[in-house]
Amino acid sequence: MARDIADTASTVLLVVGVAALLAPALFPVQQVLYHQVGAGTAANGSQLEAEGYTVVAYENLSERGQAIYVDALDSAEREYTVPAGMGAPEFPYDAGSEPGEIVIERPDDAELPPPAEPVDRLGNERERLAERSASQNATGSESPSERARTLEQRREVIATYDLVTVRQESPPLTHPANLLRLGAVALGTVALGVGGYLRSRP
Amino acid sequence: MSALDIARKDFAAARRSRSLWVVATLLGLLTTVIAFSFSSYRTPPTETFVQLFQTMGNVFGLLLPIVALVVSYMSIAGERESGGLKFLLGLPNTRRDVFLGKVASRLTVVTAGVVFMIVTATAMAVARHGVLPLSVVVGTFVVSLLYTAVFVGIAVALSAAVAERSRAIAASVGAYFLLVLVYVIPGVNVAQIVRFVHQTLFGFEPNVDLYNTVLYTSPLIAYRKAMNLVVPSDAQRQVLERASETDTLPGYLGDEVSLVVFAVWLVVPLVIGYLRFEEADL
Repeated sequence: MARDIADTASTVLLVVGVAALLAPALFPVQQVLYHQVGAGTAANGSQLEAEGYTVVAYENLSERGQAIYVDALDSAEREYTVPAGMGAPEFPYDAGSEPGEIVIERPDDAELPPPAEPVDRLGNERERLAERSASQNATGSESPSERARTLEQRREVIATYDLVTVRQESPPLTHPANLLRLGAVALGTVALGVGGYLRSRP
Repeated sequence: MSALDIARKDFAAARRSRSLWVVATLLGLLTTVIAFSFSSYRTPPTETFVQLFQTMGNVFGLLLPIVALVVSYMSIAGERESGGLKFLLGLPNTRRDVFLGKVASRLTVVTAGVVFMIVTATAMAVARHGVLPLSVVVGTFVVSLLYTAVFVGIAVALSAAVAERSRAIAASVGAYFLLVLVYVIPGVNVAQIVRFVHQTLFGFEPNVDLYNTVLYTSPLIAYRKAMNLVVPSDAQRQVLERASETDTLPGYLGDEVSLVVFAVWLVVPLVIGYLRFEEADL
């Protein structure tokens, strides 16, 4: 009786073990497409094109491209991932070993999430400048108002062009899809070990 | 009974060992974790897979000899000390049957272990990267098996050559130290010792090929060279030092020669061990 139970258990464990090893290999983790919005750039469109970047106006992006861009801007890390095959056609995912880059030109009146962090930093700098000029008479070749205007121009340029870096990679190790497959293979390994022992013992 | 019967009986006894299954499971989990955690910086999946198996080769290079020696060191010495060997030879078996049967059985046990480790690593790697470069997997398996067979042969030969269990253990540990560790520990590296003797003691001109030849006598170095045979040419690693970047290694230091090194290490210890066993007073 006990022998029958052990035989049944070993058979079940061996079958589970083989299935648990095979299943993850048959359904591997799909690669994902990363989209990261950079810190903006002080260069204007023609300068960027001269440097080899592709500059695309936001309104010329496909619907999918616009959605991904907005989602990337919305996320806390300015990064948004989608499964492979769900990206936007205009994004250069297959740029070889280096990530692909594309510059997106934001329209003035678009209701988009705010651009990346250096614009805010420039805004803070302008506020500090205004406070300082109010409290003391600044000296120098450029008056505070001129300096504020220059900063405003730079802010506008930075706020207009966003460098989006895209790449296709495996998801990180801590991604649930990876952990699920690790669990399955580990389970298969242990099941084969225990099942094999139960089957072999006298 | 023949050598095959002895091999069957010995294998049946070995596979009943709980500790053997525990070790096999732990090794399977180890290769799973290595395959899971391995990643390389922005390389295509196939290239990452190949790099993983090269890394696995580095791990196997140190690990498989231990597995082979532990599985095999008691094969004949244990039976000799317990008296089981006299019983075996009391049946119509020759010493050659016993020797060959033990070699075959222990080789089967370690082959099963290597298969298990390769299968778990491959399953995890395919799940992670979605590719299966079959030639790399099969090649790694074959080369690893040859490498393990060398140490099984050495361990069984040592086990046949000594009369006691304790001496078999000492001989196996010594073999691991002399054939593996001495070639990788910084400071006591064989190549450095030979270089010191050649240049400093005898005052000869440096001869990199000589130092490489001495290094190449190690099964471990041969295994690392043999791994180059199973990966694409652009992924091959430089195992032996060259005099300069433009220098090419002489033919006798080529990757293919690793198979000859394996063959020598496989045959010579077995022949010596068998001859010692034939002459031994049991």
